[in-house]
Order: sequence, then structure tokens, then C-alpha cells
Amino acid sequence: MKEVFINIERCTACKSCEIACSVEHSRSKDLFTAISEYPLPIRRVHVEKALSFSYPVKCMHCSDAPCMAVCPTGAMYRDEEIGSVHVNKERCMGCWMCAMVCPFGAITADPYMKIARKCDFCRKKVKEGGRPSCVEACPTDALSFGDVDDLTKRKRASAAETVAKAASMAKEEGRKVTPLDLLRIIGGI
Amino acid sequence: MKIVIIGNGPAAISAIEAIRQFDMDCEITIISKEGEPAYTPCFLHRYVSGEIGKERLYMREDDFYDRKRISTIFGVAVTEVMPMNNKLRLSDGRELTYDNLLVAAGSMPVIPKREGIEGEGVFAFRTISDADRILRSLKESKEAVVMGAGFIGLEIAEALSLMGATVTVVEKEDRILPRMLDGEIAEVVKRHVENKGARILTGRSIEAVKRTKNKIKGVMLDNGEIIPCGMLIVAAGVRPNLEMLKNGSIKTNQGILVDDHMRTNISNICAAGDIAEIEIGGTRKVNPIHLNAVKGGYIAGCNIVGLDTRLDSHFEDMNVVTLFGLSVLSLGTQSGERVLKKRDSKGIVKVYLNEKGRIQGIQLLGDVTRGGVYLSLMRRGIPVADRPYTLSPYPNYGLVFAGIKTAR
Ligand SMILES: Cc1cc2nc3c(=O)[nH]c(=O)nc-3n(C[C@H](O)[C@H](O)[C@H](O)COP(=O)(O)OP(=O)(O)OC[C@H]3O[C@@H](n4cnc5c(N)ncnc54)[C@H](O)[C@@H]3O)c2cc1C
Repeated sequence: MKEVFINIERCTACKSCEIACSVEHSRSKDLFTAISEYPLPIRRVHVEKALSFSYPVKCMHCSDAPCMAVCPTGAMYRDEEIGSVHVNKERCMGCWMCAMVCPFGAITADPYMKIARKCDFCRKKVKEGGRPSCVEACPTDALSFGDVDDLTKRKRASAAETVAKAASMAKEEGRKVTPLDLLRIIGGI
Repeated sequence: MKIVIIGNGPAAISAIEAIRQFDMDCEITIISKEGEPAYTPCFLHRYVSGEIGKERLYMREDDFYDRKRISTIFGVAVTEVMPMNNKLRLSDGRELTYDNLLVAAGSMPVIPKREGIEGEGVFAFRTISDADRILRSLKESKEAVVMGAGFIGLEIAEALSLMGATVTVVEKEDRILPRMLDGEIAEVVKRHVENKGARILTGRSIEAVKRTKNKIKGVMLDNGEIIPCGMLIVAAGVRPNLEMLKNGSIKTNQGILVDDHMRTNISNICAAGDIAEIEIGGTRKVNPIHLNAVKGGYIAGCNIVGLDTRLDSHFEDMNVVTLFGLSVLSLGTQSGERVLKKRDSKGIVKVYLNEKGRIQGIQLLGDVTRGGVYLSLMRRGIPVADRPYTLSPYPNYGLVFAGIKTAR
């Protein structure tokens, strides 16, 4: 199953994902007309600052999703094909019990319909083989999309690369390459 | 294996789904004294106000019981549980045997003893038939009094006033939503509700129901004042439905005592939902909220099919309610050593901390969409005493510091 991975170190708070998400959920799917639509399209990803970092907050499509458990109308459901969690607009009554238990704050209130809105994983695009719009829009690869195995493999590769770079730096400086030195150079401590 | 479930609320439905996830073959029978398919009472007030139809109350599709291969006995109550011979007695005289029993019969509104309270014109607000009775009565009288300003009392007060009735809510505590809010936030909500047209009297109790012949004419308060009305709705708390446990072999306190596996003292009997009093690590708790029913039902279902599943800890007191368009959310207990408060155009965030700086209680008014983030901070016991920026669930020094006041 494919997932969106978030790399907090790469996020620069440019908010491209927010814009792309709004456009994706607009009627016209065009930035310049979307901003004058009524009702305004609602984005489901929010870039929040956290200490010296920024972080795109969105639904993580949890496997043991508390929002699904708590939903009294059965409006929260999982698309078994791609594993994503969705709100059935016809069933949602805007009681906000999902918001009460979501540890990510990923539920957005629809101010017009007074119901819960959240990341829908760009379900149609993903099922047709595409990537979610936020991922497409991210210029720094803070958001990436892929198979969990692929992504962890990529993560291992990039860790290896960082360590290798640090090792060669240490060598150039004529230092002994101890793990502690490496960590210092990478900035781990 | 023959499984019998008493009750057809969220706890029962969740148990059915758990059992069927692992075992499609065992025999399951569900008994409910109501004739309706499973529904949630959470939106009954919107049914009364006409905002939604009855069909929106049902929790599952029409074919749920067929798909899950459940035999249903609806419109019949269980009158006695007989654990000695694994039998139930039903209100129609039948007896039923079981191998495993789940008691998920929920709770019932408490009707306090008051002069004249028995008789027509006095309603509880729990079931679809209660709602239908209230709707019928609305045709005859447009003057209503609600006893109790908990969330159920206020929800029905809103619905009645949207239906054009003159409503007075009488609350014996000094504030509305006393189990959810502190005085300050309660006052904000009270003013909002009053502006929308419902009258609220706090610190007053209803002493008697006045009738002429049998018809209800009004209620008398503790200060002697008489409020004329054609109906009284009692929303003064709930109590587990324990009547069927007559012979005393299942241990009870306020509710049926269960462990973290939802097991009672009798090995083939579980209980879950509003009826259960769960004991974890020495603390007992009856927790009549939807989430607790769903989780408890799920755990009971898993254990019935032989999976070792348990509840790690009690759910915090939590609730969220929307009254005349204003949402308010509460988590934990609203008292503590220190208070942090933030107010902006989106609403109010108020956090109570204990002496160690850990979150004890949270109230959100207006924008409640970040509630779960605070819940998670509270659960993990993250101290925030010296870091008020944590008031924003996503800490942001500059912006949030500016808005923070430390009260008291
Ligand atoms: C008006 C209202 C609004 C609410 N709003 C909220 C909310 O916003 N948030 C929240 O968290 N919670 C809310 N609650 C509470 C929530 O609905 C309950 O916690 C939840 O329904 C409990 O589920 P349960 O399955 O344990 O019991 P119930 O839902 O009470 O179901 C009990 C079932 O047992 C059956 N039964 C009872 N006695 C017998 C018998 N002797 N024989 C056979 N069957 C029997 C009943 O017919 C029913 O089917 C609300 C409750 C009410 C009444």
C-alpha cells in the first residue's frame, strides 16, 4: 500500500501543498478561478510552525483510526482498496467527535456545510496511478509518495549518503572517523 | 458457540463487528426492547427540530443484520438473567439459552422523585419513542420546561425552541454544563443560548409538578416561583439498566463491574457501554459516552471469540456539543493549579494545569477542530508549566505568546 511520507527537515513552510490542496478541492481545479469560487474550496493540509521547524499537518490515515471508532453516524469509513480514511458527506452531522480524538488535528471544519472535511488522499488520482496533489506540489520533497518499503529504502539510502559525506569530511580534516565524530558533523549532537 | 447480546446500541453493534471480523460462523442473537434497528441517540435533538429525518439516526445500512448473520429479537425486553443455568427470561415469556452473553443494555434517564412528576406531560429524552412523544405533545403545548442543563437538556431545549416553543431550562448547579465546563466558559455558552431565545435558570431546582386534573400546568421551583408549561422534559442524568439482574449473582456497583477485558465475575458473561463500570488499576468508572461504548463493545467482542484484548486505561471525561451553532468541547477536569487562556477570533482555548504543569482539563469554544491534539498532549502527560506556547497544539512561539494570559 502506498503512503504519503513527511520529512520535517525538508519543509520550508512555502505552503505550496496548501494551495495545491485547495485547488484540487475546488470546482474549477484552477488556481485563478478557485479563489473566487463560492463556497471557497477547503484545504485539508495545514502547514504549522513548530519550534524551528514547520510541518504539514494532514490526516495520516491511521490503521487504527480513532476518528472511525468514535464516529457515531458511521460517516468515517475506510476505502479498503487504498487504505485511506474518508468522510461520507451524506452521513456526517458535524458533531466533532472525530476532531475530539484525532491526535493530529487533521479534521477541518467545513464552514458552509458544518461538517467534517479531511484529506481524502486525492483518491481518484491515486487510484488512476497518480500522486496526491500536495506531494506533486511540494518543491523540496518534504512530502513524498510511494510504497512504504520503497520509502524506507530511500530513507536508508539517504542516511547512508549523509554518513558517507560526513566520513569523507572527517577524513579531509584528518580526523579519526568515530561514530561520535560522525554524529557531530551530521549535527546529531 | 451461541452468543447472545442484550441491547442494540453502539456497544452491541461494535461487538457484532468485532466478532464477525474473526468468526463468521458462530450463532449470534441480539435482543432489544426497542423495535428500531440500531441508532445513536446523539442526534435525537436534530430529529425533534426537524433538521434530519429518522433514517439519519440509524448507524448502519438496512441489511446490516442479514449481512452479519444475526438473529434479531426486537421489541422484547430481557426481564431476568439467570447465570446459574445460562438462561435469559424475556418479557414475552420465552426463555433463551446462551454459551456467551454480552450485556449492553445501556442506561436510562433518572426521573427524580417529585410531587406530581408521575403522569402525562413528563418526558425523558433517550429513545426515538421519547422523541416522537415529545413531538406529539408539541402539537398541544408550546410551553416547555427542561430539568437539567447538561448537554442532553440543552440539546432538547434548543430543538424545542427551534420548533417555536417557549423553553425554560432549570439547573440546580450554579452553572450550565456543570460536568463539562467551568463557570467562565459556562457563562459564555449560557449567554449565547439565552440570546437565541431559551431561558436558563441556574441554582434553582424543580420541587413539584403542578397539575389540574391530570394535565400538567406548570412546575414549582424551590423559591416558590411557578413556571407555567405544558410539558416537562427530564434530563437530570442517567443510570445503568440493572433491573434484569435480579438474583444478584452478577456483581454490580453503580453499573455491572467488569475488568479491563469487559468480563464480569461470571466467566461467560461480559458487559460493555453505559451499563458497565470498568475497573482498571484499582479505579472504577462508569463512562456513559459513545466512544466508551464503541471501544468496550469491540473489546468484549474480541474476548468472546477468544482474542485477548483489553482496555489500557479509562477514557477521560470528554464531550463536544454544539448549541445554536456554537461548539464547545471539554476534556478532563476543569480545575487545577494554574490556568492558561487564549482568546482570538476563532474562539477560546482554556487549559488547566496541575502543580507539575501537566494538563488536567481543556475547554475549547468556537473552533474545536484541534481538540484531539490537546487530548493527546494531556494523555502523554506533557508538562507545559514553563512552556505556555504549548497552548497552541502546534507550538509557534511568536504568535501564541502574544495571545496568552496566565489567569489566577
Ligand atoms: C439525547 C442523547 C444525546 C447524546 N449525545 C452524546 C454525544 O454527543 N456524545 C457522546 O459521547 N455520547 C452521547 N450520548 C450518550 C451515548 O449515546 C451513549 O453513551 C451510548 O448510546 C451508549 O451505548 P450503549 O450501547 O451502551 O447503550 P444504549 O445506546 O443506551 O443502548 C442500549 C440498548 O439496550 C436496549 N435495552 C435496554 N434495556 C433492555 C432490556 N431490558 N432488554 C433488552 N434490551 C434492552 C435498548 O433498547 C438499546 O437498544 C447521548 C445520549 C443521549 C440520550
